[in-house]
Amino acid sequence: MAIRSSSPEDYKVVSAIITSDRLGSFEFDVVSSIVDMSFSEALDALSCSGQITLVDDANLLAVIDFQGTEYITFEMGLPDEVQPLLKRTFVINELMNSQKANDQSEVLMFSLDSIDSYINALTNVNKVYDGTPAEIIQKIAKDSFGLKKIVLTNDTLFQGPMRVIIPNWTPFVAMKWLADRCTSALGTPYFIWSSLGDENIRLLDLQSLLEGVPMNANQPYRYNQGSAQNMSEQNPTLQAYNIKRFTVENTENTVDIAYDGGISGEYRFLDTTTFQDNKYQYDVNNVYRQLADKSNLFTKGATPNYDTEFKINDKNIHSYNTTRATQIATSKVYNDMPSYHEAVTPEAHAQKATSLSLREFMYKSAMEIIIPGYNMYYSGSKNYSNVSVGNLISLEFLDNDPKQAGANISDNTPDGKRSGVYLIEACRHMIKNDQGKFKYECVLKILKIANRDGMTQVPV
Amino acid sequence: MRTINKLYYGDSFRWFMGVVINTADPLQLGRAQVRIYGIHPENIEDLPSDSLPWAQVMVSPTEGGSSGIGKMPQLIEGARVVGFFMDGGSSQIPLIIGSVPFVEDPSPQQIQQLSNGDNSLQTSAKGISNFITGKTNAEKAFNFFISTNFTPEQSAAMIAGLVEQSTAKMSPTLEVDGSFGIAQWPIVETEGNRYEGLIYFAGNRGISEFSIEAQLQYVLYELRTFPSFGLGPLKRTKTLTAAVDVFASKYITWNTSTDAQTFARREKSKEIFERFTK
Repeated sequence: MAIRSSSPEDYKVVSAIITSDRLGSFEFDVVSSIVDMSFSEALDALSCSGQITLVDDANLLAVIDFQGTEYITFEMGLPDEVQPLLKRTFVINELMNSQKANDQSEVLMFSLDSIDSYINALTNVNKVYDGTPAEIIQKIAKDSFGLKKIVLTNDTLFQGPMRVIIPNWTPFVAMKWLADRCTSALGTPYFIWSSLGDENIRLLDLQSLLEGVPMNANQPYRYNQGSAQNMSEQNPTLQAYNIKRFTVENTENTVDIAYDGGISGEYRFLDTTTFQDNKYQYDVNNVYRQLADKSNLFTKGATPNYDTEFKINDKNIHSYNTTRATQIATSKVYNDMPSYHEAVTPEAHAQKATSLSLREFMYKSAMEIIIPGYNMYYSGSKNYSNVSVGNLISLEFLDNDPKQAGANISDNTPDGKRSGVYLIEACRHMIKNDQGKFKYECVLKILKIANRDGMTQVPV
Repeated sequence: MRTINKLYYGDSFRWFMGVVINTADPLQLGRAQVRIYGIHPENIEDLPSDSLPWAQVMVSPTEGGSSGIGKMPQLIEGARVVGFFMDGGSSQIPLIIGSVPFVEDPSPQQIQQLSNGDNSLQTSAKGISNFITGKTNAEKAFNFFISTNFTPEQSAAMIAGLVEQSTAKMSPTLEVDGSFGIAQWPIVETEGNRYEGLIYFAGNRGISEFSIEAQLQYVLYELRTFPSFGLGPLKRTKTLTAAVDVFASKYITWNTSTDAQTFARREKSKEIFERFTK
């Protein structure tokens, strides 16, 4: 871990140039007018979006005559230049708000869409595709966005080749629909998303994501009120691993997941060619047991975020037949290839239920943290690609156990419930102009399906 | 967050109208391959007819509803059907609930109406003639048959049969020994009504019976209207030779071809196939 001299929140914005086809070669560099801006990326989001707030004291609004058809190209990055600058162009697609500050200035807030997002909105996909869901996603990406668009995936996909006819959807809707059909052999769901730092699309399953190595395996992010308030007293490298704030809202709601069918229920897949009723009794306890046996998700005594012991009326909640879902899954719709809904066995169909259930459990213990932006910066360099969305992050919170007077931080023990490894589900990169200097921090939404070892609950 | 317990198939309903493209169901369940208006692209490069889904077809509750009991669906290629998608908005599993009569080609009854001076019928034939393009009559015929969902092999086979009837130029004005046109329809009334049918067919569309356009459309009309002309067996053929033999025996009604004639016809079909597909 190299020692840095600058703050982990320091950032530089070299340029923010507005152009438009109707303005010809005229360019407007608005970098000095930026109040703040943010860029968002998230699992299941196939494009990055953003917002920018500008102070207009040069009659910008009238001179450019904003139509929602302007480009803005940013060149920005970390001051230490370990990584190259991030150069990214967005379409300014909406003037969200404007407020007069005084007679000579106005505050303008714009929303930003990636160019892919704009192309997506303009593109209708209506075509037949053959291949595995991952192959079809790649074909749609190339048909819609060009040959350079790469889908990064792995070989854990369980589903084989199929034929689909995309019924007039945008490319993103079609790709998301196909990703929803993807599972690993154990039924873990696939996520599809794009990154702020490069042009690629990622298609990876939950198991692969959770079995990865945390981006900060040797240096967990720590939450400690004292150090969070006195960051400037630490060396800059350690400062980068401070959790500045965190929020936990509406979490650990087991009954809602049960109501939605994520804990137990009967799933039926009716084949109208044979009228064979493929029936599967779903029980999340069995799923977690399988994951514990056949994956590395619950090693070292880690426990799932589902309470296997809880009883209502002397009956485990996974023993209730809470839901009954029935879908049509007609076979032999095509002579030579399965269709989207087909699967060979009830167990293969049941992966659809497992996938939906695990998605719900992923959000059960969600948390939002705010950290300095330094470690979340990625501008396309392969050496730094294991950051931000889709990667694991290790956190450590201290417990609430009262200590004797005179005890110091080292006497606190980690909070076993909150501490652990999380999957980064979303990241909002926030850049603010602070008296002429840009400051960079990130709001992360993080998820997990297991608590770290040492919990009192019996491991599966 | 999506909710799983709402995944009941009956909650999502999307209906459609479509054109039956193929009824040679490999499972023999009476299913039909259907090209659905507004969901399936018309461009066969984006969705070849072979890749269309097989739609199950609802039959009347007056039938047995059990295997081997009651009538099977009787849809033919070109039928306009109405149905719904069993998977709702995903639109991957169509089911046909009925067909919709429409004005396409005049039926024998309509021909009779025409002969009685009733010209009130409206048809879509002028739209079809847009597909009849090419430098030669044979090329026009090939493009026309392809555009009406015959395979290249079936199209070449039909042209071989027609060429044998009306010379290599497929002359629509050729009259020999009481027969007329590209299929040499018999004019003599005692031998059938096919020539008279052509006259009324063309007259109804406001096009000349001497034109290649009228006569190609009439070939298609005859195939679609009269099962004995062998549209079903022809559509089920996979090879050039099989298609030539079916068309010659069923449509041209050459039941007495010599071996030499059969050989020559098959060779001609190969030549035509290579000419228009390479």
